[in-house]
Amino acid sequence: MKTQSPDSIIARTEPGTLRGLACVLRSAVAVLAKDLRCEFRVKQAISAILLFAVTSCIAVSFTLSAYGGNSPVSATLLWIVVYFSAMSGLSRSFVREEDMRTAALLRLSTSPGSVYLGKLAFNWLLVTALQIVAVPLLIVFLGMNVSGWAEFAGVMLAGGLALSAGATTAAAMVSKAATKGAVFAVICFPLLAPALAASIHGSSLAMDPRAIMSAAGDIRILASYCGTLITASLMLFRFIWED
Amino acid sequence: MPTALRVGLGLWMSAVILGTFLYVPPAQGFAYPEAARIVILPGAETGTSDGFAYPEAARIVIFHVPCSIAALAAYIVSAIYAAGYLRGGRAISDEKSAISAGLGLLFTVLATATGMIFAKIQWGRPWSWDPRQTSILMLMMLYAAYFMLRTAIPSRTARARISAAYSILAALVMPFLLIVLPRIMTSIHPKDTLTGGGGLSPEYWAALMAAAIGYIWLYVWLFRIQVRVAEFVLAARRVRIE
Amino acid sequence: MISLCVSDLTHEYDERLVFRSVSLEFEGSCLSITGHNGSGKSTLMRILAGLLTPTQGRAEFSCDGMRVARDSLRNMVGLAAPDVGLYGELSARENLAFLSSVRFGRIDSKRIERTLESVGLAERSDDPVNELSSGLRQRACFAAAILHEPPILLLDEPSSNLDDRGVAMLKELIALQKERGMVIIATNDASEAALAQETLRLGVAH
Repeated sequence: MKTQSPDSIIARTEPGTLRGLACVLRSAVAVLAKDLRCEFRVKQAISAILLFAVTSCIAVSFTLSAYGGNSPVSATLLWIVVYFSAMSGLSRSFVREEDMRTAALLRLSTSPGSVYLGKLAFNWLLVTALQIVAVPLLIVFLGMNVSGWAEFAGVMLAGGLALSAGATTAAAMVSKAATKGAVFAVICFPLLAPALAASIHGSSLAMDPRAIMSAAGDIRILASYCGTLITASLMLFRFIWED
Repeated sequence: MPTALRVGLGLWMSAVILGTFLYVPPAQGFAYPEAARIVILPGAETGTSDGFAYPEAARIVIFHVPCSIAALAAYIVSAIYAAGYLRGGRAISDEKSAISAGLGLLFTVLATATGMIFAKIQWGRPWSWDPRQTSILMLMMLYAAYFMLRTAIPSRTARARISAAYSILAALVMPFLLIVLPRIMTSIHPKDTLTGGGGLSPEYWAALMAAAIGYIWLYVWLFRIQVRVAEFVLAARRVRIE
Repeated sequence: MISLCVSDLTHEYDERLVFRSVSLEFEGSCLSITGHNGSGKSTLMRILAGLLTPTQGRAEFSCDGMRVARDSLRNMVGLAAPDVGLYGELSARENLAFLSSVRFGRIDSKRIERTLESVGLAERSDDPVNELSSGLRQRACFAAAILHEPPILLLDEPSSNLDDRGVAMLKELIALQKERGMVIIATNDASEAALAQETLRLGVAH
């Protein structure tokens, strides 16, 4: 059997070419699919997140239901629930790789950019699932009401992406640490604070029927935050991920 | 740092302190305010610092703002050394990055403390979630998390690489914390910000810039001392391995 | 023609020196690395595979005279080692399908079947890897290492956990790889080391 020519092997993963980019995206999709399949079998992260979400929805609702109609209060409670539920589950995708000794396999077969994008997509799906559960629960338990659904959905998606981007990078950084859970939450908060503020503000504007300003400004802020964080993480991920 | 420069630093900062009380108007001494009462002086006679309840006490701004300037400079230097470490892999770059972040944190704490003193005098409450106060607090948390991350990673090379990546990310998130966050919060609570007193006289600005130069000079001195210590520690470690 | 050049390779892990000033030039098809426990065999394998950056020195492969860059190592090298595990919840076939889609952009079923056959895992290939015995798990690791038919195969303690049939399969694998390119075996087993043309001994004081 002849040796494969190195040119073809090297050309296949040449970054910076369009084919290289397509390779990275395809590998990222493969990583996402693998994570989804593993998660579906074990249901570790999703159950932790959803359980936390339901519990905290009930916890914030049973004394504060009188304030549900008030948009800033509901928006804040919604994002507190989403944020802390995310904190309880989003680090698992990386921590699990290190704990189960599969990280080496990933490092040997996949480029760092693909790993980051795949895990980012996985975490974003988890956050979106969490939002899909939390929003109806708060509408029912807290009396939260949303007047502008399109804007609200936009803020939820953009805010969710920002949350996932920060959390994915932080999870990768924390996967080599000793006390993972505590460090993860502490690192995420200041990193995500601008995104959290923009999400809360934007959601409250989208929910309030009397709001003059539109949430588009906050969505723009979230978009630029995501752009900065994701680009920087892609460039730095190689150093965070490899030994 | 050579003795001449150290003495120069001491003289410079003394000049700044003296200038704060003698050069910057009002020129007559330092009226000690009663912190419990807020008296808004309506007159325009104190035209040098309109909007400040106690124009005398507004002098703290000369020490408060340069602290944040020095902190920002320190954080940017930390990110630059971090990038240098990721590119070159020399352990001293990582040490320099950490030292600079530590000094930045020191200046941030000082900025927060002086800000709280001023807020207590101006508004009677040391903390009021004023947008600027909030963003400086977030900045402090950002770099406190940097040190928490450093402590949590046992392996030295992993610690250096990951904290270098964090330092760069933190420097990129800083504009969001310092510019975007206050803007969002101002639309949540519209209130006068700390630097709302728009009419600062040119003497104030001169003193402020002088203090900023002094603080950066101080930062350079502290930085060099700590780098020398770090170099000794690294050299000792090398000897122990070999 | 694959060749390996290791020059003045030193690695420290925190305060501990793992090995120092290892140098070697090798151009054959089978190299063995021996040494007592803790002499750094696994560390050296990880450095060769591109998983670890050495503290000092260089270890590089060249293919037909052209140096293989660190980023291309991923495609040129396959590593089977005790700390390179597969995804326990997925079956061997699913693990290989994942590796195939990540490396080639699609699931190459023919290649997967061929690989499973060559490691003797065809019957238990649909059981989760967690449920396999250590010997079968070891075979699954080999499958993962050779799926992309790498010119360079690195095997770290390969015959641990293997029964007689497994060892025979391993020897066939090594013979095949010798034709394809280069195989490097880190081992303390004398019979495995005997397969090699040259032996690098770690942990010997200079």
